[in-house]
Amino acid sequence: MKYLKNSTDTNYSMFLTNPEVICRKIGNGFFLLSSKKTWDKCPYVQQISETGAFYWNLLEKGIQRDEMLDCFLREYNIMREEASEDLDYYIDMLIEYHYLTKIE
Amino acid sequence: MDYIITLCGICFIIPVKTRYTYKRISSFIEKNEDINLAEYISVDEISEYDEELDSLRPGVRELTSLIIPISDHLLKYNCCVIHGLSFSWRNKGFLFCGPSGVGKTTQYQLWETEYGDEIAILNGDKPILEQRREDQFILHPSPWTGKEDLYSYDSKQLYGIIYLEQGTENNIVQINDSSIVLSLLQEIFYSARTVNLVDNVASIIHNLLTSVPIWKLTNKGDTNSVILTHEVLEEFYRY
Repeated sequence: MKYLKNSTDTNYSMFLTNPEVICRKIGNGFFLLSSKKTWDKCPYVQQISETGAFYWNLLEKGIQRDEMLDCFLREYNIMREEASEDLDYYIDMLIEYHYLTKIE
Repeated sequence: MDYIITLCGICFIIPVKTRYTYKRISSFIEKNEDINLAEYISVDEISEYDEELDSLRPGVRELTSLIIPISDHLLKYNCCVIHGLSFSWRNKGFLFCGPSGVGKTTQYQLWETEYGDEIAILNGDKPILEQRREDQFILHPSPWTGKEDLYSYDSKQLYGIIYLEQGTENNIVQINDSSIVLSLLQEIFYSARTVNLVDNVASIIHNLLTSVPIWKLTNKGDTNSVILTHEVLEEFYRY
């Protein structure tokens, strides 16, 4: 179970990464790949950015949202507000494609 | 009846019912009866795929239904069945890859016409690919030899992949980047029923991309496309 603060909510939300999905670097790209068990919900393969892979690895470790953002800002030179928006957009995408489940 | 066959050095016990399948696997039947370790392919594993192939003749259907279960087991040993035509050019292994009907056999036949003394067939449809080291891949024979039944029993180190695409012009570019990943994923046979299997395939494709030159050949299926590819390979390997 991964606990994150979703900035779009005022309360803390719980997130669970799909255990049938892995993130791998293949060649010079990053991909989310899912096993057949979850193909009815999420795509078999989805290319993501290096930032997306960075966040996915933190999500798998159960790092909270704000801490994820802090980790990212330590690694990359980007404005906090912009990175925060991007992260929330990414989390929403992961939820939409069932890579991530939000537990109410 | 169950038979023990050896594919790229790995023993399998497989159930065989038809004469057609027996004939195709007969060269792979293990003569040594003192086998300590063999991968067992169960009827249940095969039946899932057998049901999807009901339009095929019984023998072809049986042989085809073995592909994914065997490839799943092969992945434990960093091997897999890959869709493509493998051949040797000047004693180096190469693979024509691409979807069915794209012209892999046509391309090979054109090579035979133009450079027949430089090439030899390895497998016409589904060779076994072994990742021997992170940066070394070997093409092995398999019982799946395609409609034209093109085969040999030789294994060769893989020196290059030529991914074919039909087009109105001939063009060849090296493409060892993420844009070819989805295409390669579609050419490796496996069930994807566990994340471990998916991980194994991802690792094989990553290592292919980082150690084996891959070209995308957009072609008209004519002699010029073969001459173009030959020129590129000659330049790359500096003959």
